[in-house]
Amino acid sequence: MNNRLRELRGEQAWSQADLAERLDVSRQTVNAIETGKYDPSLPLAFKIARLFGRPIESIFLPDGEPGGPADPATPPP
Amino acid sequence: MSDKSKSSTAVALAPLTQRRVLAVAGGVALLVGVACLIASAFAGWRWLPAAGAVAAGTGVAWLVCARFSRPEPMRAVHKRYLREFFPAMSGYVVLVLVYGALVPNTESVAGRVVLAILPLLPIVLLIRAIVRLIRDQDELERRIDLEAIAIAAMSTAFGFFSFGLLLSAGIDWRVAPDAVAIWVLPCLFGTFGIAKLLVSRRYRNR
Repeated sequence: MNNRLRELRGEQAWSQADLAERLDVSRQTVNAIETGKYDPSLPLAFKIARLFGRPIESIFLPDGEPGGPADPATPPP
Repeated sequence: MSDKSKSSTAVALAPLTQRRVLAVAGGVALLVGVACLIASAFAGWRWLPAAGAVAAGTGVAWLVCARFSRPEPMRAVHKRYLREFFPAMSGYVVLVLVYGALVPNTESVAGRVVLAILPLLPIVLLIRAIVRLIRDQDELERRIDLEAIAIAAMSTAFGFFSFGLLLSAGIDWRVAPDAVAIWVLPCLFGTFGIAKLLVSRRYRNR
């Protein structure tokens, strides 16, 4: 699964440690999700989506799917 | 406030990191191990050299891990684990030492049985601490620990089973049965440490 976590975190100017603290997980977990080494559980994915105020499907994308718009308001092509 | 008092306050308030805990625990374990090895030259306890070697080896392993770990603040769940783990493990070590000191002079079988079983009491607290850690840490940490525990348990169990097969195959190794049983725990912890390092690597940066 691909994700836009690093991009969204960058927009907020948060470090991995900042994001980890907000999600109550370790920095290693944030790093593993960002690098695609670990796919989060549904509860953690919902927590991430709520934190960034976006739907899950705009943050997490199935393998092979080109990176979709991070902003759900952006109209589909 | 003077510079000196400022810096001492900073040291006192410095966040607890995994690196510091590993370094302190490793140093203490190494010192205890070396002390046991030195004492074994004077005391007649036959288990002392093995205990010293295990403690010193554990200390060196923790110091090496401290060298390569990141100086990140520990999360609350891990601090709680340390608060629960160290008293339980200290109690266990003290009761094992009591066993080693008193068993040679204890005539009654019932007394020796009590001394041998007594160290299991703090182990109940230790199991509770480990279960609470596994339950409350984050999902990736839990996955890494459970994978490492599975690898360590299987490797140790089947390793000792194969060792038993080798002994029963008539290989002329003179091994005391109590030594075989006593080495299960250090082997389990050792393989868990190695397995955790290997499993953790899977989730690190490419």
